[in-house]
Amino acid sequence: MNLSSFAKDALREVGNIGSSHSAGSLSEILSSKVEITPPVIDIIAGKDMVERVGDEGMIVSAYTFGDAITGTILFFYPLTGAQRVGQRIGNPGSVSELDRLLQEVSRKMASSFVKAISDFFAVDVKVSSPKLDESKIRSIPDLLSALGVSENGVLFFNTSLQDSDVTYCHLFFYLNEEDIRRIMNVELQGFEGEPLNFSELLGSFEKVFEVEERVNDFLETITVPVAARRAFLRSSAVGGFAEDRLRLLIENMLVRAGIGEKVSLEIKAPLTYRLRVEGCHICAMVPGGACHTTSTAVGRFFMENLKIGVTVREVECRNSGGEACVHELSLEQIDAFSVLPTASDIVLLNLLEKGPMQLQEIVQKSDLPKEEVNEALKVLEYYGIVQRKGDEIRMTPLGEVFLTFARNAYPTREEVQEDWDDIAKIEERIKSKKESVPEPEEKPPWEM
Amino acid sequence: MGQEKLLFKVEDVYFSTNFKDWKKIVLASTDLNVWIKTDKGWKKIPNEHVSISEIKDASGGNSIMVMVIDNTKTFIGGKKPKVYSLYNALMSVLPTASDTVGAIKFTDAKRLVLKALYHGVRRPENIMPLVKRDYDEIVSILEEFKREGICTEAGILTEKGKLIMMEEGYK
Repeated sequence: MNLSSFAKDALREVGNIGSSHSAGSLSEILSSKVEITPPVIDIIAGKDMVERVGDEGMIVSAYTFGDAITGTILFFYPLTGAQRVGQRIGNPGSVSELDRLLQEVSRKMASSFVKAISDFFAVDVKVSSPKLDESKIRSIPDLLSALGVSENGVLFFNTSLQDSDVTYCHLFFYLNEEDIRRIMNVELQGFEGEPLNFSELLGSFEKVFEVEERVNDFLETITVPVAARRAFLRSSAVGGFAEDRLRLLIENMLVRAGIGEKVSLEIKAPLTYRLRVEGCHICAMVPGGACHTTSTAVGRFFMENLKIGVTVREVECRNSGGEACVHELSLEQIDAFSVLPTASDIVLLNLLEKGPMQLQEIVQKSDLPKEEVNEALKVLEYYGIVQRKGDEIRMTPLGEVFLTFARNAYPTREEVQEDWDDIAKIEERIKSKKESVPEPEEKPPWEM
Repeated sequence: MGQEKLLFKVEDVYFSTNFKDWKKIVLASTDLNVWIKTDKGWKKIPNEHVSISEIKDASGGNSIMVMVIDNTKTFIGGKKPKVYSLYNALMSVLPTASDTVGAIKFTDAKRLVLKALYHGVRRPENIMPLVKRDYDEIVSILEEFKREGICTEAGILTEKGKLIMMEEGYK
């Protein structure tokens, strides 16, 4: 049997749905709590099953179900569990009486199991007792053989129904390979009436998780120099944003992480940007959901890699009928200001602190090239640090605070990597890191 | 009423109500409930009783999500990508507090005020336009910093304050 782990997950989910309802049914019959042990999904042949359930004093019930989905459910009652059930429901006087009562209990549990599957997939499934020649069944392997299970075994879902001190029964359930594949394509109702199939439902979260992991790899590997952060903010004011290296890195990173087909970052206003995702994979993966994965990916990048706090809000989503998914980013001004100023800015602001001036006078007194003065003033004006009134340029109240802030800015020493934005090299670094670092041992709790 | 539908399930995350005693759990989300499985079995919490408050980074590549269940804060922790995935997926399913609808904040006011102090901007009226927060909020943060020995009465960062700046990478 060659089934993917994905198909095993499908069997696990079907088994979980069914067995929890069987347990509910048993709990109702016994009027007491019934717990389910963590399910095991495994290929089991006859001899393996004997090892799992024991071979002494066992009462067995088998049910098959069919129509849209076909499969088999087996209940194995160990003697103590069988006796406990018997005591609770009728105190049978003989083994044959106990056997009859347990067959009745099993039928109810099998019906609950099958009804749950039938409801879940919205298909007809009917339960029945298999026609077996009981004279030929002397052992568990004989039973499995009579049910058509090959000597190599089949993929079973296995759980036990128990109370704190007794195991009432072991539940085994299997579908044939073809049926597992079939249920993975049965259409279900997702959120807001969106149809999706079972495998999509199971897989959607896994796929989002894969994207999150790739985002995380990028965030842990990328180092953006202060000069690049400064260039990003300044190009937003004076032009050249389309070719800005940091902008392009953000767009490339999100595409490579699997967020969408095409990502573009646009300026909306000073310190406000719009991230447009065309062909968004995120809202396609989470039925009815918004693109929080994108919001957190870009939010974390600004906060963790650029040290710029940000609030991210999705303003348009394909799931709500938008053409693309659009996220609005509002950057924290103080964080942006801590990387924004150049030495020229401080020279100009020192002059303007004394009072308003005309451009010519600023150029003369600053001893800076006119183009440099013009560009610096354009940036400062864009961020509300200076303002023009006719020919006059003056510092705003925000500019006065900014000057104190900028004067006290401590120069940051850093090793600048020329290829900091080369996405291929970043991916190479991620790959080699993964190959060289063994998976850390999982051990909670962590230290804060 | 239709059948409850499983949306996603995440294993190997940790649950705590006090930030100390962490229990390994499985968390499953359906269209109706959040299910949490501990060693004592499954516990069902209707979606309308649960809201997501925030997500914080912890050391060792871990994150902690703050989840409010019936007005009580609980914490779900684990590896960063896993907790962020969970956070993002739950945000799509659970009701959200009105002030956070659609917006995810990667910032906090205390960090911003600390940064202003670090750069020598100390008066609340000067900090206000830089950090774009209410005057009262800034005054209250400054009071807290003074109480905790992060800055002096004059708003000068103490060694402890500078250490926080460096360690947290706020600079």
